[in-house]
Amino acid sequence: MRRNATILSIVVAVVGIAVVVFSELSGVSWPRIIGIVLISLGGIGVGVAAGLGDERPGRWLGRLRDARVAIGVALAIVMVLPVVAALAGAIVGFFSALGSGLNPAVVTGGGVIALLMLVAALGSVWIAVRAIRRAATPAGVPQEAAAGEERA
Amino acid sequence: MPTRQILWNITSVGPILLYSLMVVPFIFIAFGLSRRARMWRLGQPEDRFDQMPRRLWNAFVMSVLHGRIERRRNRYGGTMHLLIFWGFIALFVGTTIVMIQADIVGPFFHLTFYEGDFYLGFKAAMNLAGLAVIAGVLLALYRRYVRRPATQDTTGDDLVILCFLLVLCVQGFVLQALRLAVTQDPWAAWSFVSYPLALSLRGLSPTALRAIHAINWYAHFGTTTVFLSYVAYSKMVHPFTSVANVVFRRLKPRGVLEPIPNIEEAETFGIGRLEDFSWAQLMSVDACMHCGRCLEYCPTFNTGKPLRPRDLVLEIAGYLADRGDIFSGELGAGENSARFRWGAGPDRELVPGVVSEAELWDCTTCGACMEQCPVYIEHVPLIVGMRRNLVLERGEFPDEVTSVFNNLERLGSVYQFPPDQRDAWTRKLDRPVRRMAEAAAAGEEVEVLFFVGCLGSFDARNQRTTLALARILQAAGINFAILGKEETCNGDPARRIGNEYLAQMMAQQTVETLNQYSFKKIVTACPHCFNALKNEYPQIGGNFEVVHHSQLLDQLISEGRIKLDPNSALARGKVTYHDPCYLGRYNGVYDAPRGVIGALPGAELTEMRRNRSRSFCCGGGGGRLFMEETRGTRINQARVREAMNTGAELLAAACPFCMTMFEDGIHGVGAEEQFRVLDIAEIVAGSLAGSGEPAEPAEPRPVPAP
Repeated sequence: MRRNATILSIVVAVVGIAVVVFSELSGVSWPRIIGIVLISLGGIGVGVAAGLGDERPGRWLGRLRDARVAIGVALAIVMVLPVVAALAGAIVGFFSALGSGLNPAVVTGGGVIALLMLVAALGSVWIAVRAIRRAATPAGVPQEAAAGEERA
Repeated sequence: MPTRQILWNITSVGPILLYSLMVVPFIFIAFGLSRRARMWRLGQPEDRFDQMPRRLWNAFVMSVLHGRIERRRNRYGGTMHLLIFWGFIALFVGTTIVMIQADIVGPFFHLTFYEGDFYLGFKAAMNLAGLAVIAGVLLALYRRYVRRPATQDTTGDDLVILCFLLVLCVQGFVLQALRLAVTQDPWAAWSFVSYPLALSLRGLSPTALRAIHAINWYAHFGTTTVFLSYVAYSKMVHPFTSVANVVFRRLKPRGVLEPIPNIEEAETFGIGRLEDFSWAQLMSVDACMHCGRCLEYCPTFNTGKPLRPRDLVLEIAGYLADRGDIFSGELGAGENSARFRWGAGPDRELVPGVVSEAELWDCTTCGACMEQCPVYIEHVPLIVGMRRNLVLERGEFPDEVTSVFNNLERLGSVYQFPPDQRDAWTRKLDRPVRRMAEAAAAGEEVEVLFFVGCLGSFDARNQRTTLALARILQAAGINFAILGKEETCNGDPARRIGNEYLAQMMAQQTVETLNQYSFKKIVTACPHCFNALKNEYPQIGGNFEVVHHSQLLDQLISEGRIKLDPNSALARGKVTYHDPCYLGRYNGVYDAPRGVIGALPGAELTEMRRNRSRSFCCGGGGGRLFMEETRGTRINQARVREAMNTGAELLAAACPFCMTMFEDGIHGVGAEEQFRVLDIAEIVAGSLAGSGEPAEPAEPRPVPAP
């Protein structure tokens, strides 16, 4: 029963993807929502069937878990790199934009926003990488609880 | 007409990937949530599906409107969450609106609503929402890195989630700015964050801007996909689990503990295995977001004891995750939500493999954790459930409790006094006190049954409160009677300690006694008796109108039935009041005792820092009154110091358990000379026009130990 549900869900998702591909390549946009719905239902079906099943998470999921630090660090860098490039570009562009007749106050505001966002993006990568690496460190022996009032 | 091209600068490969890869987060979210549901189903069945409209409305108010998140003493955390929550919701709705335009309204109806004034307002709203999320995330990071409240532990998962949110918003603003830098929309200023950024970007060539835009679009879409796939395995699952927990929370009064049904026939007692929890309890531990609010007023956390309610819940949650075979937390087996024991495997005994015995026995059942929890996790029933198993199946409990159980079984009291000494205190009164049996035999109507309780009957200090209340009742001309020798313990201490069998026996006996007589209402000076009689006795057919003596006193004073002496020496200057947990938090009686103190001529009520629902326990509840306090510092002394810090010389109490703990605490801190504790009945009785201090109590004679 569950196996059939999984197969059906996969089929539904694949049909949905095919519909989306057809819609995009043919330029007929109305079938796209049908494809989206099918993809969503198929994904939910696969997930629910696997989640409610008795099987332990597959070996590939175990591997995913084992490689979580490497994957996490790589993703953190790859996902943020483009936005860092854009913000760096904004800071470079800020100086030429200043003399181009645009409102200098707004341009300066833009430069400041770019700088802050750049710091936020780089800071996020730094925090996330540290957090991911720290999370993989064994927790060790439980520590005695310190009194809240003393800690405060 | 102001508008924009949806999927500007993106070739058809973009939407194909966008929609096709949507299947990935859907699979991950559905797998994670259904595995969680499967995990909860390990628990026992329990009906939590009644009163659904009330449940849903409550969830809306408490979760969506932040009724329980944004609180007076949690403004920082509440505002932070509000900004992230509403910002995120607005962005989600915004994305859905764009999708409706692009995939439904446009293709099917050839209409466009995504233009004109709507579009301009939409852009401004989305910029505001993005700013709100960023502000909330920065507040959260500041709290975790700089403020670092003692109640909060930061895990890798917490930080990764915050970084995700921050990066997603920054990417959104940058994408918009890159587009505006190329298209140079005349209405671009409506995007008030992206517009200045776009002006800075105009220094780059349009070709470069288009290339950077396309790369960033894919990066944003990739980040969103990864984030959504991570949701069900991180604390970001809480929009699902926490809301579910609020919907399916217990609707009974919080002071009620569920009885073990049909205990004579039961084969297992209490919670000894994961399967002994109810499904709703398993869901509730899974809903914990380790915010630490439960620790803020917790007496054990604040005095350095092993029990920290958050950690207890997370220990069970970690065990549940191990048993349910799900990554919960969870970046790794190292530092994660249940940082002590998660990942230790499914083959553990619940106690002590997951939860230690010290944690269970340190709890005072004060309910401060449950009062604060924003998602209605009920810690006390979990703890009492595990205590029941220790007591009834394993016969394991602190040595000091043995005598309490013996006394209850033999003498019907927590103390070692014979039942015929229960009413010995009445001999100290000038006027006799009727027994219910006498009144019934004479066929007389009784207005008030005064349920004295064990402490009020036998404990020398608390007898003074009993005498005081009896004097007030007599002065007010109230037609009252006591059960006298027929009174037995109501079963509350046994129940909170975990001896449910004994508790049910005591309760049944009391209900049978009470049901013999006719009276209008029961008054008691003990909040533990009050809670049991009022909230728990209906479980076994005892339906009575029960009032606490503070409520009765407040009523008598306001009705002018008792007169207070303006020159009373007992109620001069600053008085501080301690809210008993079983009166305040469990039953919501906060104003009546304050009304009594406020009516005392010459008395000035000064509040402690922790008051009303945020009161700090005296340390005597949950059977702790009868146990040694061997771990951490003394709870009662911490509370006495807090009371003394108000500058008051008198601490007003309204509970015999608190009275005993504070007398001990005052001695402990060596403040006998400058500080004292009195029950509000003693203060009122001592302030009655024409009265003096209450007389010394009669001394009951102890019976020999068995």
